[in-house]
Amino acid sequence: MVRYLLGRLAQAALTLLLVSAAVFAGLRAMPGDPAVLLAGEDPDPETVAQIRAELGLDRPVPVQYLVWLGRMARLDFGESVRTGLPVSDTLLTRLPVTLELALLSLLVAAVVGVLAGVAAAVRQGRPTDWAANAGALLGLSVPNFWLGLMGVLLFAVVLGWLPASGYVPPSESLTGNLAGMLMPALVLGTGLAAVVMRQTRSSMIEVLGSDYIRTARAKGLSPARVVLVHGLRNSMVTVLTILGLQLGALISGAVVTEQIFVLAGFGNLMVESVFTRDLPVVQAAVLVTAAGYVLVNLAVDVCYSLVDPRIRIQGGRS
Amino acid sequence: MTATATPARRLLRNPAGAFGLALTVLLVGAGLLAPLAAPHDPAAVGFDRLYAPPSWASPLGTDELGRDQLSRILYGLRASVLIGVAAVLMAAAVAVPLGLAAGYYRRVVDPVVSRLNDAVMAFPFLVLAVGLAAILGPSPVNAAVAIGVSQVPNILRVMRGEALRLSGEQFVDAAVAGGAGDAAVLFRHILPNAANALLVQVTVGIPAAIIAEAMLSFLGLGVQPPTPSLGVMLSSAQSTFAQAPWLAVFPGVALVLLTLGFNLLGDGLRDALDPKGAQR
Repeated sequence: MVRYLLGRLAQAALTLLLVSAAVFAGLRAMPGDPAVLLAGEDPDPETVAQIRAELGLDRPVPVQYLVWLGRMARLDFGESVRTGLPVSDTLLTRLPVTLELALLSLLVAAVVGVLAGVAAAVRQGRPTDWAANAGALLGLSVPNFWLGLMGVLLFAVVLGWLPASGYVPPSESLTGNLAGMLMPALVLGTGLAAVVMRQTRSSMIEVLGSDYIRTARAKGLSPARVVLVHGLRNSMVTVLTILGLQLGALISGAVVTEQIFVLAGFGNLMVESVFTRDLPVVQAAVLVTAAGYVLVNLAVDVCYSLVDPRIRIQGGRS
Repeated sequence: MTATATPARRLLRNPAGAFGLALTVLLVGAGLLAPLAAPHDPAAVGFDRLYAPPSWASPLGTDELGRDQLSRILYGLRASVLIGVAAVLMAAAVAVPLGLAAGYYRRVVDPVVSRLNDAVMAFPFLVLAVGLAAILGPSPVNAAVAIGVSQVPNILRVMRGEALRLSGEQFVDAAVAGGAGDAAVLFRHILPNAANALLVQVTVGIPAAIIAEAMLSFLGLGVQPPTPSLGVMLSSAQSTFAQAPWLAVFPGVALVLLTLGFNLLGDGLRDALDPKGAQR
């Protein structure tokens, strides 16, 4: 177990290093010498050399990378070119919005996807199964940003039931916060629910056909107990993996969803700063997202090995 | 369903698969033939017909510059299909040789390639697209590259699995015994037998790539206005919702039908090419 965890930890660290090196290389590959840019119009070579020394650009590239990495690791992302505020402060105000959105959509996906998947598996080949499959196919084919637009059109513009956009902090009004987050979470959760449903269905069908389920039924346990306790528990491993694998899609989806519902979250900040060419913010947002992604995956793998002992014995998923 | 039916016949006999094929052919055809099929010039501006609702002259209405929406959607489908297919083909060009090598050289190549692949697999592609756009500027080519990278892991995994499975087959032993070099074994003997799996994976990858392209263009990171693209059209429709809802509805419907067609076709192909699976 310890060996497995250490190996997994080393792998996560390596992934982060690779990502950081890619970000650093990308920034260095940008056209234009920052020292010349900072020196203003018609710079004399001495001023440029001085600025270059101040920025540390005269040192060897590997040293520059390590210095930069040290700053990033201390969450010192510099200041936003546009607002002049420290980037880390901006990130901290934006992060809760995105986290709330992500958690709510995960909840939607897990509840809807697992319930529909179990229902479809239990009623395999019957109308319930058919409807769940059709729903999943539609969920996969409808891009979430269009679903969001249509949601706004129907529930905000035509019916006026829900606000079209904006974020209300829960400290201000909890109901206002949930009303504002309901549509974004449903929109972002739909595609994920479709994937979870398909996976739950196929793993439940497999589990329900296995010997120990027959034994449980033969013992005279109630059908609900057999399905929910014995069956579902074993297909949870698959669902957990899928949620881990879908994390990247969730992050990408959150960026668009924030854009549609004008939620001042992380993704919104990222897109905004690309257009304003606010590179310190882009750099920090990319790194923090990557780190979050790696850490959550690590956590999923650890949970996974706790749920299924075979994994920590064999030392990895295959 | 008889076991001797050809895959094409099995695909056509499966209602969902046949419908998917028809939908795909129709929409891809309409997009590719857009210059012939479009009733109007997609760029023709008309200030006397701003936000015109659907009518005989413009069956799907006109936009904020009076441009004909049907024509713009046809050109948009064309952009979606071309970028989506190009991204998946780029991905296949990288993933096929790497996947085959990983499945064949299990000791040396596999550990490295599979680890890297896992890392790329679920990494948020949008973050990559944002990074590329920040460094190189937003453009359809950069968007296609980011989408292509995001498609590599799925194809690579499938090809690795196929190479792993096929390298144990007798015909591979026979080819090796016959003196075939590694490259010949991989590309002349293993690849043709993995073609079905590759075809299914590519068909499933295209709708995902199309949605990704629309999403990037919607965010302004892909196709740039005034070039017609479904994502760009939806993005500009966002601000005129109440006035002209048709501008938000129709490009999305076109996008959904296109991806639905490919998804149904992909599912149908999978069943048709794998008779054992279809009978389950």
